[in-house]
Amino acid sequence: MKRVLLALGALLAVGAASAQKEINLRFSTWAGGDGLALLQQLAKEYSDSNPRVNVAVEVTPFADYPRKVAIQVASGDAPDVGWLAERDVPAFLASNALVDLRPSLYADRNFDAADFPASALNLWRKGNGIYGVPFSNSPQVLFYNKDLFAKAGVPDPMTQYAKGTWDYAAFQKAADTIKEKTGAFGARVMRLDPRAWSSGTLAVLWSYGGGVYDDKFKCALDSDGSVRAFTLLHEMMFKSGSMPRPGDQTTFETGRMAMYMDNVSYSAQLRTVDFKWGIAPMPKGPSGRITQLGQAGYVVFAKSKYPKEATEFLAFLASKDVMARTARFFPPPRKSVLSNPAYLSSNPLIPAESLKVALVNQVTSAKVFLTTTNWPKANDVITSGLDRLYQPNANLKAVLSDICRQVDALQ
Amino acid sequence: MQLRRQEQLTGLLFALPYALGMLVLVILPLAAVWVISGTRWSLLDEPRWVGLNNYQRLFQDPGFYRSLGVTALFTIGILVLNISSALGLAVLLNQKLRGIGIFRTIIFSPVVMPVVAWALVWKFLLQPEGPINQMLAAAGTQGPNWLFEPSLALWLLVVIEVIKAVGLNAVIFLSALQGVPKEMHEAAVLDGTTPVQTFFRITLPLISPTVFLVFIVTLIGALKLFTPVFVLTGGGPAEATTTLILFMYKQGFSFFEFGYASAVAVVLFVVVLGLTVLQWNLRRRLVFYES
Repeated sequence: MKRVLLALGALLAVGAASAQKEINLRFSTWAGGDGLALLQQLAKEYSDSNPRVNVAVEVTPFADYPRKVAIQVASGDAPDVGWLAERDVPAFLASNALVDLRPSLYADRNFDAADFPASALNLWRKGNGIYGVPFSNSPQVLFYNKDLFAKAGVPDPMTQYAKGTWDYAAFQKAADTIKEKTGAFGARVMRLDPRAWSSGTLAVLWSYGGGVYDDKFKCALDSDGSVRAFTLLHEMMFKSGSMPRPGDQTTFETGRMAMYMDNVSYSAQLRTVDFKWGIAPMPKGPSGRITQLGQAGYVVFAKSKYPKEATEFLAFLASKDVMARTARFFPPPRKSVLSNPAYLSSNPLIPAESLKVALVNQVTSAKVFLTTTNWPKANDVITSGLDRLYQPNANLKAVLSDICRQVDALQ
Repeated sequence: MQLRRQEQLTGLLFALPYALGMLVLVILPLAAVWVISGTRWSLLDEPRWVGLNNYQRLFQDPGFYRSLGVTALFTIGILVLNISSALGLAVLLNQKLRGIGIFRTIIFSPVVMPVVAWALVWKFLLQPEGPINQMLAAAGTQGPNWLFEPSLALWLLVVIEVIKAVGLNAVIFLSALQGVPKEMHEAAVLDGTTPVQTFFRITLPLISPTVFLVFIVTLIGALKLFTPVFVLTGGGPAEATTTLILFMYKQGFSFFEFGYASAVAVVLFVVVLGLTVLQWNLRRRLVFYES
């Protein structure tokens, strides 16, 4: 009985405490692990220093994120502030689901909008407004398995980069040699999920002068550059077998894959592997070393009941001090943070020098993948087209032209 | 009189929780799908009424017809393979052999396995350089990239689904077979029939009500099958496994066109309802009832 009373008392106390907070903000994210712990810590700090506001962190896995948030918005249960990934930005912008931060946040001198390179904000612009603050601006880098390179006697990517010879021809040669000498796969460019093909593939396409779209958003998958890039991938899959074919589930973490392209945050998954690894810049192609910049941003949802308070909380998260703290997991586009030595030595798994070469030096030539609101449909067409492309006897040019015909018909 | 009314009232009160649950969780959502199918709605914005536009668009959408074709092939494949192998297995399991219980357990065990786990195991086995292809390579032949071969993927899904589901149908058939009176078989044997004749002339007609039930349940199940397809192929390769239900999912949850997706759902509902009514009417002619 006494216990029940105690529990009741505790409940009442909690109730009273939360009743004092007039405003409950909900912050939506797909973060996990230490990154999530940091966000929860930040929410607590903010709630503690703002007596009227209480911030609750809500987590939805990345794969379900746009769906779940859309359903929350539709059912009048929208979060106030949250993360938004680059792939979902056009749809949320087109539906007017976000709050314009230009008159509030971007006009604030403390925020210092000039600290963000103008190109980093392109994704978030619509008309004269800016609807989000990118907090993660992460170029894809090349993860490589040092043990497999040593075993095959191939100079590792960082050494080849220092010599100025690290291009896609060298990449292919290294992958093929490793496959031949060790039996392990040489390189994985695509993710396991075929629908996420663009991550990895885009960097190769761009470095060869190709891409998904040209400047006028016409399909460029059948341009000469794109065809050459796909030829490289096709050869590695079907001639030498150094690249896994679609459907193969072998990941870099297994130690049976010499190279893999992903964001720096992927390093968190390599904490427990039993092989030595490093990160290097992506290889160079005929049109340069152009890697993909993955972006995610903080946004205020238009259906929020407290847009003003939500924007204030966003200003806290996007401030220089806080971004310097989150940078360890999510490298921000803030120039002041990236150039700070404290940031470069913040990841215990990666030496500062590698991080500088692979990440910071690549940022200037990296591109954000800009899409239209039609992208989900275009991606569907392309994913299904790539199933026909990655067949042993495929006619690449013909398949790619057919994909482009369908993609352009969507516009 | 008053007592009767009171009893009626009590009865109604007892039925009320179920009726309310049915109304809120089944009937209202069902009706809502019909209403939403007349709108344009991305979930993020407000729904806009567009009348029958979604249906007009649907009946001009080549993707819809393609998925209708895929659904037909898939459903026929599952019906033929599932029912024939369930019946065959049931006949085998009906033998009075020592240790037959073990075989019954083995055949039924995939039924109780979680469907996502089942699909993931197959996805692993069927990788281009996975266990199955490694075995084939050891035997000297090169296996295809099973799930990424447009001409193969759909049939593979049929086989994987039937292996998972056949146990349940086999058990239903088994109990029906055991309900067939022994003296009928004895009489037939005395009349000089072969075992094949006995099966087709005596057993099958006697279990036809069960065959009918299994047919309807399997048909509806095949039309609505989503999870294994989604996990194994996601509708690919090159749309070869995009059934109607995957097509609907894609319109809603990938393209955020909930009005259009609801129109697909309504069409699927009408198709399933139509097929069921048709079978119900054919039942009188095809099914033998003892009474």
